[in-house]
Amino acid sequence: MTPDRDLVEAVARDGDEVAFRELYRRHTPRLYPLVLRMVGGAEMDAEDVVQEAWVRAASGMKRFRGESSFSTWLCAIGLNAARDHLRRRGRWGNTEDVTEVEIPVPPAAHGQRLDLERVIALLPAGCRAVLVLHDIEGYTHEEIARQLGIAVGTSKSQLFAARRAARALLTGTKEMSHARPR
Amino acid sequence: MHDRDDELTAAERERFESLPREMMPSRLLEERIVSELHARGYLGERQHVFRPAGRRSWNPFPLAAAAAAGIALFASGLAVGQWMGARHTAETMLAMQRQDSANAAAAIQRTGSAYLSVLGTLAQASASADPKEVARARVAAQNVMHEVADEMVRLAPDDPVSAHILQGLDKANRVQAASAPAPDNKKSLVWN
Repeated sequence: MTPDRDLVEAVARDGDEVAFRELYRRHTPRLYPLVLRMVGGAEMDAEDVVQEAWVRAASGMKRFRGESSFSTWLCAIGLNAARDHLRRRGRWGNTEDVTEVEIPVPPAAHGQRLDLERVIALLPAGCRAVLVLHDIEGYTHEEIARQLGIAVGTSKSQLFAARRAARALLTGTKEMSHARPR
Repeated sequence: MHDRDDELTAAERERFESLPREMMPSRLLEERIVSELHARGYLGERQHVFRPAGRRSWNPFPLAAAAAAGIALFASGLAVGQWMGARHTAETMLAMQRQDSANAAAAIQRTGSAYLSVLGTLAQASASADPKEVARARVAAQNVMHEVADEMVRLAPDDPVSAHILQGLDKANRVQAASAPAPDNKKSLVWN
């Protein structure tokens, strides 16, 4: 299997379409669900963000030094693209301000157990991003803080709020509904 | 900050871990992105390769190339075979012709030698006073002439001289046979 580094060089140097497609097929399956969860489960939005991520990646491949894996580099671009997308839609908000928001439990969720993916999609964008990165993707708070441009403490607060809201939604109670989607 | 009292339970952790980490978007997205990158100049000359995302698709090129190579190999083999066959046939025909020519020359040589030998015998018989011996000599000479003419006609069917000699001899034989009983030794000539 051709190393990612060689494929990146082929795309950056020659605009090699075959090399690009190979990169796309290797790394999009990892990028897409991350972006999909970040944007709250909207598939069309997620595809737009994936496209934007690949366009940014293609434009920056000449600067890719291989210090991290291509997958990590691409996901970082995807996260930035997702955050920009949410900001443009007015859904990113003030990520520092998590204690003043509430999560209204949707009518269909009263007394019912929700699917975890649906619960994650219902969380406010900031909380959701931290939960996805920490509990699903395995990022540390330091990595999340660096990636999202927030303080480490904020990342921890967001995770705390997200987990409690998720538990409330999953059990069908309004136990911890102090965060609200924007 | 909240780590102490907000750890995931084993069941919650398992639930998060069960979520899929890999998913492929619609396969049209790949084409959309490739088109976008071409439009922006990040990709070079467009290559019309569409493969469904997420799995290796069947690429007809290797099979077509293999089929073309197979056909070319078969055609060239056929042509070479025909050429070899034709050349072999020609060589065989030439060899046969050479063999026929050699055989014919040998036959003519043998015939000529036998004819001269018979002529010598005929000359000796003509000096003899014995009418039976003269008659035998004449029949022998006639048979020799017939065989020679027959051989010449076989070698050159269109040669009028040979044909006329053969027709004349056949006619003479028929007249002779009609007027007198055929001699017993007509086919007794031995070529030495």
